[in-house]
Amino acid sequence: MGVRFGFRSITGKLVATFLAVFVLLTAYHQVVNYMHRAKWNKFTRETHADAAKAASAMVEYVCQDIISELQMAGALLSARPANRRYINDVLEAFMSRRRNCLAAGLVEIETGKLYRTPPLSPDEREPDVTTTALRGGPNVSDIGRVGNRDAFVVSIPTAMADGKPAELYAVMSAKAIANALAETSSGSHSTVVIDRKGDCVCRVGRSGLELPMSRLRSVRLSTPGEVAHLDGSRDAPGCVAISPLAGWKVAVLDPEKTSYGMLASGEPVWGIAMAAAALVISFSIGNRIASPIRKLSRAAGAVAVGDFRRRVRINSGDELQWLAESFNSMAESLEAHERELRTKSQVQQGLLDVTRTVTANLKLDRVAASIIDAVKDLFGASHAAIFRTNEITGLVEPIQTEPEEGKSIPQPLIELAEHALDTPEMHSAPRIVTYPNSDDGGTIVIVPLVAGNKVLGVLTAAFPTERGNHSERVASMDVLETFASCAAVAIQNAYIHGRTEEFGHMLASLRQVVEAITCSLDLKAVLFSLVKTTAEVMNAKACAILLADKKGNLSVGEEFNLSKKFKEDLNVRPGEKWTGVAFAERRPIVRTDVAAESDLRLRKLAEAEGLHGFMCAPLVMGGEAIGTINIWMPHPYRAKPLEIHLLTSIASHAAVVIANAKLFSKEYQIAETLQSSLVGVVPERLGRLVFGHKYIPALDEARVGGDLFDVVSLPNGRVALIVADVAGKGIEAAVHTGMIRYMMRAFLFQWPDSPGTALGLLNRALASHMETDVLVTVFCAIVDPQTGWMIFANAGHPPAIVLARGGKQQILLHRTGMPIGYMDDSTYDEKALMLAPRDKLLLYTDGIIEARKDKQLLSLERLQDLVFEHAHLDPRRMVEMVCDETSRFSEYDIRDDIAVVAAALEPYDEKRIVGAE
Amino acid sequence: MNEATIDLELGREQVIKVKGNLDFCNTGEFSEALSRAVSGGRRTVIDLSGADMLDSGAIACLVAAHNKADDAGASIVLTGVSESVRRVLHMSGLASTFGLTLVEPEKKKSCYDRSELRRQDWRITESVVLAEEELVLALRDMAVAAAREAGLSGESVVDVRLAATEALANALLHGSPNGQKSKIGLRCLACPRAFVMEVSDEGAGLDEDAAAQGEPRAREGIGLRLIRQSMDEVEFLKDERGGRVRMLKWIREMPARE
Repeated sequence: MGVRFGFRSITGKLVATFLAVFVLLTAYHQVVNYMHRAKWNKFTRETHADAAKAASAMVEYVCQDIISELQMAGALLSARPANRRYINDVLEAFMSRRRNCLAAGLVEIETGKLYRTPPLSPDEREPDVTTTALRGGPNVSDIGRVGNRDAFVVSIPTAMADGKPAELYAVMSAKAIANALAETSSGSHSTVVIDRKGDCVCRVGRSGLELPMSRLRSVRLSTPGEVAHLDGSRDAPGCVAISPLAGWKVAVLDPEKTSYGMLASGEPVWGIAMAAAALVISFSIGNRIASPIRKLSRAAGAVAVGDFRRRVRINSGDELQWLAESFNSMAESLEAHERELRTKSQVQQGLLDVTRTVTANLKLDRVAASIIDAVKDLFGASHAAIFRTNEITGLVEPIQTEPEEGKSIPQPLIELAEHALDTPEMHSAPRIVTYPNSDDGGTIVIVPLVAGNKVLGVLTAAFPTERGNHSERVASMDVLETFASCAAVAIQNAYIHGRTEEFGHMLASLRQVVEAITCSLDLKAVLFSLVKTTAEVMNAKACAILLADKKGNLSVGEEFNLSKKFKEDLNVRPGEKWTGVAFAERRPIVRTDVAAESDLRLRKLAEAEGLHGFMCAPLVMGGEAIGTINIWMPHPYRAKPLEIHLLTSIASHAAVVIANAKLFSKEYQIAETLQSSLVGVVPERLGRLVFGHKYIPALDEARVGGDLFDVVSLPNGRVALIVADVAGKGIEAAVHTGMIRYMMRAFLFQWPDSPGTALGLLNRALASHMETDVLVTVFCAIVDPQTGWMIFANAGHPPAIVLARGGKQQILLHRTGMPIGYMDDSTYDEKALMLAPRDKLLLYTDGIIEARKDKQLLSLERLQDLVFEHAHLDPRRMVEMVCDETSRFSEYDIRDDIAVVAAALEPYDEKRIVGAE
Repeated sequence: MNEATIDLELGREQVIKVKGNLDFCNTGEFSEALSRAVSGGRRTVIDLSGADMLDSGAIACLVAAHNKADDAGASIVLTGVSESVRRVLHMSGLASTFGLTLVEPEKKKSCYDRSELRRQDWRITESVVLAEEELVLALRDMAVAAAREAGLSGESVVDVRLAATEALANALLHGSPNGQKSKIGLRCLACPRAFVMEVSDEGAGLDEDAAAQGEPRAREGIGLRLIRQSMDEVEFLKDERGGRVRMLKWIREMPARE
């Protein structure tokens, strides 16, 4: 920017201001000067006037002095009659008193006789004195020349002694005046006396001064004491006074003083006017400079505190206008920037809020709804929607499945979204696409939602009109894109979460089913819990399991909530109906609504049952279908892939469990048969003996264990009770168990009174026959059910307990010999005991007293305590009690087989005895 | 079971006739009869000709009555003292109190090494009863039967019976710590060398030293002495279930097998 000159520039203004200041100073100076001079002039004039008055008084004095002298002379003359001589003497005396008196004379008016001293020379002409005298008073004449001298005549009227009028006069040299004035005048003043005619009488002071005679002459003065100033001429200033006696003007001239004529002619007014003008100009200029600066300053202050909308209007055309323009543009850009910032921060705040909202939710539709709200609120979209491609149908559909009422998505958004998602570019290089909206002239923006390099869908938003300027819009597009990526992640999260939840639900359902069906090995129970829990977890109304027979025909194995008629209709051959198809092709079949099938019969049946949605999965085991599982929904139903997976998983688990259960049911039957043959059968009663028994196999082995009990009715009417424990478990132990049981039976049949002998034989038999070492503990008692006489032998078995005397005494039947198989030649003592009526005998295996809780054993003492506590129980309940307490003690973790047998000797039936008698 | 009778005849001199056993079942009755007899007259004759045995309680009663009679200037005379009663009184160390003299019995000493017992195949007889007199008597009978079965005979059986009586009486009186009816167990182990008898109760167990320092004429002191005198070895054991007295009797001669 160059420097401008002229009044329109600040430079010019400054120059002008300086000039104005200069003028102002000058004017000030003038005014001060003027005041000073005026004061001085006044003083000068007064001085001049005083000088003039003094001079005129001096002239007057001189004249008066002469006149008084003349009067004195006149008095002398009038005092005595005069003669010539006398007259001359008087005149002489007068002359002698007066220097500069050139002559003195007396004129007799009547005669005209003249007396003069010195006598008048012929060539001299006496000044006209008569007229003067006649005037009645003293008179001073004008100047004239007497001889070669300037002189004037002073005359007074007088009277002679005889009374004759006369006039006495004196011719005075001008020097008389001059001398008098010279005595009194001082300084540089020049004093000039002018007679009535205007001739100069005399002058005193500086010579060489050109007298302004014409001006002096033109001065008119009438009154004595009046003065006239000599102003405005180029001549020396001065003052003129009049001497009244002579009528002469006395002027005092001061040639050193400059003329003060100008001062008188309005010089201060100009100064004041100039000063005023300078002030006005200064103020105007100052204002013109200052006011824009003030404006700018105020505006800058406003901007500083954040009022970015403030503008400054300055049309001065100078740098300040440039500055104002620059300021305005600065403020504009600031405003724009600030607006942008505010928008951005609003958007960011909004983004934060939305992110919070979005991340607060894991439900896909809620996330989508919050995203759409955000797009509407933050970006001002009139409509917004999120679309994705349905994985199953392949159709483009909005994520927010339930649009709020009255807020349906505009058609252009749907079309553009479909178009965008169908375009390969959208997937290969996703970017924001903007379309004009033909409906309302706004724009439609398609924003791809990208998460993990995958386009999840698009966010479409309709903006009503072009909003803001271009940059703003672009900025918001950027933000929108950022927001879209956030939204995409949120959607992805929600999607994954949804999937996870679905998976979790599926797993939980599957677990529920599996838990239900694996809790039993009984086929019936498995099938029942399978259909029930499957229907439950699939939210199905009905469920059925169809099992294939050897020919492959399917028949209902178990059903849930199906009518008999419908059930019968389910039995099909492979490939027949949907179930048959699923079975034959080994794939799940899904029908949305069986009540809308073309098969009229099926439709009727389904309608009657209220069954609609249908799913069927084959039970595949080892690549072979063994049946199907069918479920029916109470409404038309479109199955999700996960649900089909779930049903398939249930089916495959079920297939295994069913196959197992089938296998097990076979094994179980075998095992049960075996077990009953091995463990032994205990009758409820033999004679007066009442029995209770229980056998619990160990949990971790098959149902066949190493414990056995047996109650045998012997040929001699006695009853043998045997409890034995074969070391080891499982099939091998079971085999030994069976063997021992029957061997014992055989020996006891042979020696029905001697359990010790039977045990000894058993020991020997096992020792000689068994290839492997086998250790067996056996308790064997032979009881006479009539008398209660009991003989027992105990081969290393835990002591049996006899509960006698109404349960108050327990007798322990300790071993009477080593366990069977311990030594080859063991012998077994026998002991005898008489059982009283109501006495009880409790036989058990070591599974009871060795039941463990942590490292603590149940122990014989605890068992005894238990038996004491529950001594009143009958044998059956006693056995139950012992087993229950043992299970509870070991916290239902039974590690060893448990066999318990209790027997009680009933008292005599009195009626029977009576009857017998 | 216990068919002992105590008859008191009051007259010029008081006569108490005892038949059967004097033990913890009839100690109270015997004590009452004694006090009545002693307070009734100057001379009290106790006819023990029908008595099979005395236990510590009865002896304690006799001592108390004797002291009381002495104080009153009365006298108590025991008549018809059988050999077994005399033996018990002697074992109790109080025979002289009643003016009885007897032959000092030979002190039995262990004839077997105790370590031998470990290798024996023990025959066990065991029973547990609620703490009632009748049941405890059954246990005593069971102990006697087990002793006989183990091969003991004669005086040894009497000794076992006396020891069992004293141990069971002690268990009955002191084995119920909380007043409730607790359980008393008897366990007899027999081998050819020895007969071991264990009496267990739910009491705090016998403090041997305290019993030894106690009044020797009190029932407990007498009982303890009787046990020690009648059995060869005595142990007092304690476990968490209660106390246990283990008593051993050596078997000198092998029981004659039929």
